[in-house]
Amino acid sequence: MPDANPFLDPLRFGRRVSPCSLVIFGANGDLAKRKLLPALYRIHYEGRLPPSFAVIGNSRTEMTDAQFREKMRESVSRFLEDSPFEAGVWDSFAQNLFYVAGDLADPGFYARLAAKLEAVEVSHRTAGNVLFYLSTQPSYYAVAVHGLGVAGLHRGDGWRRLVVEKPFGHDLGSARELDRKIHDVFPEPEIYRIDHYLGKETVQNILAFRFGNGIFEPLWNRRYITYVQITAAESIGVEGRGAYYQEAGTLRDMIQNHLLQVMATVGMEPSNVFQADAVRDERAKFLRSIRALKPGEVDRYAVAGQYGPSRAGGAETPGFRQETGVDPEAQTDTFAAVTFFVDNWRWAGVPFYVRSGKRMPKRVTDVAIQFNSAPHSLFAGNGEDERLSARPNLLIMRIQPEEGISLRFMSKYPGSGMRLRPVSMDFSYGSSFGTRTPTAYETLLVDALSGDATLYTRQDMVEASWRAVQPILEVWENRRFDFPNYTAGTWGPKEADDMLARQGHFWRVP
Amino acid sequence: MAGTLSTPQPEKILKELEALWSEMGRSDADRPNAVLRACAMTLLVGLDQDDDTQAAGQTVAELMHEHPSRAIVLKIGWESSGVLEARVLAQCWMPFGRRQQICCEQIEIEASFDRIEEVPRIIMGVTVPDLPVVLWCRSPRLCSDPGFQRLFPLIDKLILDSAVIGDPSQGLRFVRHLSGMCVVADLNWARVTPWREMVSLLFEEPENRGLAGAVKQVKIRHGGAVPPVAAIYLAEWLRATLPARAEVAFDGGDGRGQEPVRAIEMSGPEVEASVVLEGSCAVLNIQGRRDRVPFPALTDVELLRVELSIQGRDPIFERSLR
Repeated sequence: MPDANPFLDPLRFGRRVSPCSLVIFGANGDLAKRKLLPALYRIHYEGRLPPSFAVIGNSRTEMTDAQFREKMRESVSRFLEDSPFEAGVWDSFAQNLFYVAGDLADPGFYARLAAKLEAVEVSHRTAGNVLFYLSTQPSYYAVAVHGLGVAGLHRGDGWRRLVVEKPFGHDLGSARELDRKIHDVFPEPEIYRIDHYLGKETVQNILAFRFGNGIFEPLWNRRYITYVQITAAESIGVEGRGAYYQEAGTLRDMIQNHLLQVMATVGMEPSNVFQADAVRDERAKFLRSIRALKPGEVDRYAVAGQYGPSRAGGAETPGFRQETGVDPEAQTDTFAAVTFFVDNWRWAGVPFYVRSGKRMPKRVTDVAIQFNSAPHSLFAGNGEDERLSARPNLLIMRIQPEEGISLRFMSKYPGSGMRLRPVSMDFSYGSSFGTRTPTAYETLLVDALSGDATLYTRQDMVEASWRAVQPILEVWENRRFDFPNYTAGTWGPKEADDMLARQGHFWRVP
Repeated sequence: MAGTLSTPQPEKILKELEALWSEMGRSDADRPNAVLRACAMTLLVGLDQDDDTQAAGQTVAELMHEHPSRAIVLKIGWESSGVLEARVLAQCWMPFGRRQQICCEQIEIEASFDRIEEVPRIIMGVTVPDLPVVLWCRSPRLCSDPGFQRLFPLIDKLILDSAVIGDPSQGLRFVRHLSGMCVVADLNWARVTPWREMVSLLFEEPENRGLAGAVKQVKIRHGGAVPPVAAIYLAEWLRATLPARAEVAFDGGDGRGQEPVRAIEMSGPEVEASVVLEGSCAVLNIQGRRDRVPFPALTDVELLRVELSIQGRDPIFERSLR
């Protein structure tokens, strides 16, 4: 272990990445072009990449290094978020970009990749450290990992890490099978499973809000909270991803990963330190505590939906089954709502209502915590409906698009008499910290390159979240739904409202 | 938007601020929630009569975007003319892509020297309760005034710029003296952060880590005839941080040039390393290997942003100040 750098000043220096190569499989794909390369450029722009850094892109398309750089230049300038594109900065970044074409199933490709890695290790002094990033179709994950293992690229003078994008399997069995194949080559500490929701500033801020303040945590349990609602709504449809989405569906694509991770962030116990394994242990414990529904309970606690065609503002919006690449009889859920229960002391009996859908009225992701009503309605009897004077407190944590926190509480309406009205106390990240917030991929890339896995998921977390949705998937796979069952531009099917109504609750309108 | 001049009683100033917000709320009545009020601290700005009030106001306005605050801009005139006036205004801006204006409040106080004793009482009455109070004092004379120093127990941090004091040794004495009275930050220390980062980068690679212990001589090349405070800070930091005892020397060359630091050269029996400024880049050289990396040119606004984002003491600065 080399000596620590004595000149570091964590108070004032930004976190820097150590010398390394980053190999991106699927570098010609959408994720690389829209997210990864813009994030890397921005990290370089902030001076957080070392001079000893190289990116090696791979896809099947034949390209020279120069052609790859030009292609990435176009993508970065187009997809860069909240940042200027500066030609001079790009030029200094681009000199670290290289490309190796090849089919992941071809052993010869790995020999060429090894040669390129050796070359950049000398020319860019990357110290033998390599991060492999699987940004390909999921069906190539195992192929690529096997190829790296056979070629011996998973070991070297420096560290070797592997980043895997979701989906981690399409059910519990396939997740375990994929994990076994990855573990044949890479040990668990070197595997970084990315769920970009965990990299969002506002999701991390839930931890800051809960564990950085003393006043909320005492209330954060079954004694004071009636229920939790998590909503992730998109106003758009499948936007050209019909073929993929048809196989996935909302339960797999959103709830099994992103929203269960958000739910774990809301419900987990505090760890004793903010370090990768301590935090992930607590997340995993929470996810394992989610009660798996019995087959007979699925219809009561889970609702599937699919949007149909609609007409708004004189324009026709196609239904899911009319989207390109989608089977006209598709049984895919473009909306899913689930009531989860968590079997531990903190949350016993508190329902977590989680819903996500496409073609909803607006794009919004938030978490709402509904607290118990005041135990006695002191101000009733003034002629007003009692429900108006005893509305429960509601804490809203807005994840996107307008990040912030709101607390609804009751206040006296001006004038004589004691009539109460709910008011909202708002905190907006945008106005309190006017600085630009890093994108989730910037955060997660720097973390992986620095060896910090706190915001990455672990296999036990992946399996626990599959276990939570597996009974629902199995029931739905054997069910023929009467789709479509909701109109585009609405908050989903009526059955979702009924699911809450049976508990005496209702969905809030975000 | 500005309020009217008022007799500077804290209660009246606060009342005028409330009236200002009410008026803004009314003028935006057709756009509900169009004005969002934001505040994370009280930022007190101390100016001399020779300071450019407009430029300072512009700096405050830029700082508001990242550090929304109630700004109290105090301008002292050194003649005895019996002036003590205050006015209130709002600083507003529309963040890109948002529909709401964000507004912060500003109180401007103008006082002549013969009324400086009354100023702390006014300021104490108009700071935002329960939030940090940061004083950015551009005027060394104001900060040296015992009457004004009565404010120091109230503030969480005092930000100075020793570069405005012509004589570096006097500037350093001044900062050291005030650091005995409250938590002090010097923008000159923030100016050397990129240099310190470059030195850190030289020794970042594992194979170079051990070389830091071999450094025996350091030469800091600077502009001007005598080493400026920034160069002295850098020297003290290197002395305190290098693993082995090293001799640190200054070289002002021909005495021309304005840059506080131009280059850092480090050598020893088995090590040769340097950081040299070349335009907007720094050239890092260690054991014959060269790298060019972007070297940020920090404006005063950016330096202040950094200082406002750091709460409490900076132990490495305090160690370098001793």
